[in-house]
Amino acid sequence: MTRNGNSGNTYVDRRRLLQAAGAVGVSALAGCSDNAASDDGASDDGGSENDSGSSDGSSGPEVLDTTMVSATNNGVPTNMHLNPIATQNYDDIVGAHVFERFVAYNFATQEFEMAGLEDWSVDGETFTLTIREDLNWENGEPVTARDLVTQFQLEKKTSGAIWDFAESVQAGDDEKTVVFELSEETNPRLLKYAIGSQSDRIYAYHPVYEEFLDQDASAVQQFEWEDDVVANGSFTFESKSDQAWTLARNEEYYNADNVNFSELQILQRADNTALQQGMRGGELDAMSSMFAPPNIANSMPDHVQEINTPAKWGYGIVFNHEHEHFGNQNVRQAIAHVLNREKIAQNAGPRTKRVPEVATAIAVDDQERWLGDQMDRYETYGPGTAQTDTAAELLRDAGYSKNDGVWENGDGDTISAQFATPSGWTDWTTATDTVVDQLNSFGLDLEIDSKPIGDFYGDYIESNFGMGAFYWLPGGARSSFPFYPLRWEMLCPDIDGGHGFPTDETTLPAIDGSGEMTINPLEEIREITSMTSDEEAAEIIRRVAWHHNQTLPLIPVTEKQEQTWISGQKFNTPDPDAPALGVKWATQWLPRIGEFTAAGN
Amino acid sequence: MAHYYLRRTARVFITVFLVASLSFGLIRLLPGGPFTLLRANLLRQGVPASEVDARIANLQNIQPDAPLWRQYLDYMSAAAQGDFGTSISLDEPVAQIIAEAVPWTVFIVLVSTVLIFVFGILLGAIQAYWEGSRFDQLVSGVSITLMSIPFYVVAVLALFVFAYQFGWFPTAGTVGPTVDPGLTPEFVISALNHAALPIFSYTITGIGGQALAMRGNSIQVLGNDYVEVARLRGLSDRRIATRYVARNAILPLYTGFLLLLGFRLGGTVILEQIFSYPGLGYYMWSALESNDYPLMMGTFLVITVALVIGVYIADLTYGIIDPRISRGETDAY
Repeated sequence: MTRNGNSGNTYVDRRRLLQAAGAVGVSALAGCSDNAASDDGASDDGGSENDSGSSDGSSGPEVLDTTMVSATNNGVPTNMHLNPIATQNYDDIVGAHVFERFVAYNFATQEFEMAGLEDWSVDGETFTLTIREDLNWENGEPVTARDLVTQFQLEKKTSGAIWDFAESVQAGDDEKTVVFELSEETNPRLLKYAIGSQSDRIYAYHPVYEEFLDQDASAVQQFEWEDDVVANGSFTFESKSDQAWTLARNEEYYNADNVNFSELQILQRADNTALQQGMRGGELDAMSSMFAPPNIANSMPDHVQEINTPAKWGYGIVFNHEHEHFGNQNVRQAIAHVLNREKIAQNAGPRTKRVPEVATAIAVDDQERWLGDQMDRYETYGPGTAQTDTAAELLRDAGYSKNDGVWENGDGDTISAQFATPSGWTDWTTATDTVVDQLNSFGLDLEIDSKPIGDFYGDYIESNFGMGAFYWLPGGARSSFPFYPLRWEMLCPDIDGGHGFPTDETTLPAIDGSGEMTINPLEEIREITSMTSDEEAAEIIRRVAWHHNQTLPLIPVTEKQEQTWISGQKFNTPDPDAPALGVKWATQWLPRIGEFTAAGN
Repeated sequence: MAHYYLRRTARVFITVFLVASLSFGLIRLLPGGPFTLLRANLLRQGVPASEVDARIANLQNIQPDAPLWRQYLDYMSAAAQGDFGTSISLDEPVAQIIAEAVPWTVFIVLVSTVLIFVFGILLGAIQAYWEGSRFDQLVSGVSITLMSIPFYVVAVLALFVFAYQFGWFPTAGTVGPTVDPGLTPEFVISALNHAALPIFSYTITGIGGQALAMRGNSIQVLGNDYVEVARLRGLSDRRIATRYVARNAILPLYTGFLLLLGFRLGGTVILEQIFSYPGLGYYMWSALESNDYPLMMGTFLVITVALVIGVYIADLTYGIIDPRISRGETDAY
């Protein structure tokens, strides 16, 4: 996907919008274009760039009586609700249309674009958010600092990410400003990633949420917002049934003029096959995230467009570091050498899987940027070959020998274990088959242990495993900043640290090959939290990345490309190269910026 | 006579009690807890792990794990009063979830089972009447073929062909998303339209078995002395076929019908999953996935009780249909 500058794209946006609305009121739209042209086109201010609001009182484009149909696989709508802070049964796919996000991270440009916020800034020990002037609730009331302060105070009760750094939050000088007092000077990137993920939404309408401020956290976590939901996103909640959510265009939304269709229906579909068939057969117009193997993807009609964005997440191998064999660094390195990761990617999904060049906890697109000219010093473990000789040497050095085709240690114990994998994740099942086949061919004795997802996590949390499949990056925008994945692989909070990786001081060969280096990886990575420049942080990132490259808390195998789908059957779709496609999820982002408009056919 | 009914009634309560106790124990032997899937779901939504931990911890504070014996006593006493507790994953009373789901499942199971019997008995009777004919051979062959195909294979194929390819039927759900519930023609048509494929797949694979059973029974009855006597008495073929043959041939199928109703409730776990049809089986699967003990217990119990009641009704009414039973001449059928 090529990513060009913004100016050309802005022109294309408006031309498309005009085409789309040509039959329904060009003159009104012309007024909107003028309005947009006067906006600030700063590169990190996508919200402003895409403005076409009719604040001058002129009417917007005619709204077509068209329904955009999408789907959710989160559960039966009547059992779900729209309280994003609830522990259970919040439908985030629907919520993303109803509540505006703070900002949007563009995975193509690797920049944040402003959305519900107009600005954010860090100054010493304060972090200031400025809410968009024209961001309103659906009833016309403005979204104010009071709403956001309520939201952040509630999130303090549930250990929201921003509270790792903030001490207090309060309204600023005006009703659109929110100010955090920080516990210490903090790396601005960490603050931005703490509220900048796709799932971070502005939702706490004060009159609804204020009652929970004085109650225990469990009260707001159990609140099921199903009636009188007050939206500030591009759509408002209308109704739900066992079969579907029905949302209506939000006329109070600041970018409402970009949305030229009246309704959004989100059907409930239980499994991936139903989604694939729905997209292929024309039942669905858009699907935010849907895995489709090459044969299914290739069978989609021409009007269906696939949008790929990096998941910053993917198939890896986790070890129980307290295991007799896998706790041994030589064994882990030998395994990494044996694996032909490109072949695994080829088998599991050649179109949507990428292999990291360097085996460390940094996403594919970010490795060169952060490791710089030292990148070629890191061990690759042969991503496209099975380096069995090197692996055998490592095992022999660790006291293993091969008998009857199977490796065993001095006590005669073979390297045998169950290889855990989640059932139902089809691409992972294929990857696991290939991994186990490659390792068993080399002389390990592994058996696949496929489990339902709940049990899969449960066993990892209880350290009841030897080795198995697990994602090697935490995923989402924050994985772009290596601080998060490097720390995450050591602590693995998703499984409560059940992999038992030792984080104390250790001595390793130096990066430049001259002698040794001593590193306390967890302490060093923590230093980044107070560093305000990328240059300072880069040095530590390289050291900790080297530590991971040598000690292999997890083995990175592939990184996934998310698959988002939109259909051009009833809608105008953007150019495949449009930078806006880098924002997740395109199905939610494109309508609000006028890149997915009803064609009126 | 009274002793017979008393014994059967007591057996119902004992069976339900034992099944409830057994499933209570077995369910808690399942690995993992009710919060592991919830954890996975929150992580998938992009909630940072530390926040996930805090959210789950807060939830557990208000739903602490009581000792097993306490859970058992609480559950049994509440269940006896029709209270199955609150679903952990859906945070709604289990009784309410079941009450909303059961009508859809009963609708599918009842309609398909009745259709199976109607068509099965008709075909079987005709086959027996024309025993050895080309029609008999053809229907027997088709019946055996259909019997050997699992219903879920037909379900998947039917969904793919008639819903996704031809678009003749909806792909999921119980009624259209815009249809208001109520006894309106629109609602009834939409419900029938949505249930058509599940009922079709559940029926088509069951007819063959019943047809063959009916054929076998009829042929056996046709060879009995009393049929010969009826013929010698000069009774019409029609009278012999309906009063003498059909009645006695259907008799063994009657118990099967009631038992099948109960068993087929269990089969809806797969059927409803394929058609995204939110009935009892759909919720049982979702409860199993999320280790939602109360919902699991509730759905298990409903299916068990349905089966037990089916047998109970068969027991009570069989005596009316076959007087030999109520006279205590035989207890086996």
